[in-house]
Amino acid sequence: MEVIYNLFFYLISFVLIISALGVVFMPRIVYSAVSLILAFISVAGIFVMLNADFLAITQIIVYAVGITIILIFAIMLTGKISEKKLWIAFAPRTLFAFAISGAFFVTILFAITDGFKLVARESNIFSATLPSLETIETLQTEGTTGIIGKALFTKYVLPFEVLSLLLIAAMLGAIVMTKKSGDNLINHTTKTIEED
Amino acid sequence: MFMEIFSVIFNVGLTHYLILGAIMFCIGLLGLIISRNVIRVLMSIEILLCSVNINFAAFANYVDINNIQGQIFAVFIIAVAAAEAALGLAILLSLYRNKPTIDTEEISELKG
Repeated sequence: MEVIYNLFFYLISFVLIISALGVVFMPRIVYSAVSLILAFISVAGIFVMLNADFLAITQIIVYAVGITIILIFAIMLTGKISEKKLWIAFAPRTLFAFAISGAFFVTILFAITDGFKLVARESNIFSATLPSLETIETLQTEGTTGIIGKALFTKYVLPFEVLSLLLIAAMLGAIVMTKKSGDNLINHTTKTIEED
Repeated sequence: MFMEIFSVIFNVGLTHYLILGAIMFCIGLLGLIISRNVIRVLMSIEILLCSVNINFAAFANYVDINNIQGQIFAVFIIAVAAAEAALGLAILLSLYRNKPTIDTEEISELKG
């Protein structure tokens, strides 16, 4: 049982890392969009392994369907220029980027493994323990949706409302920015109403 | 001795998920800097947000299993990421209408 869990983790994370590298290094932008879909679905698989079923479904609905469709529409609307020369910036900042991300990775690795000596199941520095079997059983039969919904409407109700305000502001901003400067949305609608 | 070390490294725990999140974050950071295509920069930002979500879900599973607050914050992050993607692509389209390029090195009106 444990071995199957571990093998699934390594399989999903291998696919995830390969497809994330494909997003960055694929020569054509459409291929990297397809690779991004694979990466999002792999992240949903990681969420399933972490007992987060609501989060996995939300990940698939919002990221792997919604955001990817918006990105593919943007690729189709802006795709006149040949993409080969837009691959990677052969500039000094490329070397700088490799250096900075490598240094960042080594720093994070040093921090979370307590100086490269602790890759244990029960990590001491975060006081992490394996969740007990009864808790996992409860989560897997009842799901996490109830807990998340209850918390969203009691403890986190103010951030939830602020988030809805942010979504409305983003929607209005997207509409206002993408409409052409000539057409007037308000007059157009009022005119059609009068005609009816 | 060897089998013990191997089982400690092989068995998946919190640290493995954190290392996976670190790898994803560094890939996203790399793509954010070295890409010349604006759409690929936006894709790299999505990868960064996904790596943060992996870390939140891992901590919610291993530290705070009873009231999973990490997953709630991951839901918030997903909503903010959707708003960010929509706004970023709207800015990109209106910029493309004024100046038809998606090269990050040609968009230099702000002298950045």
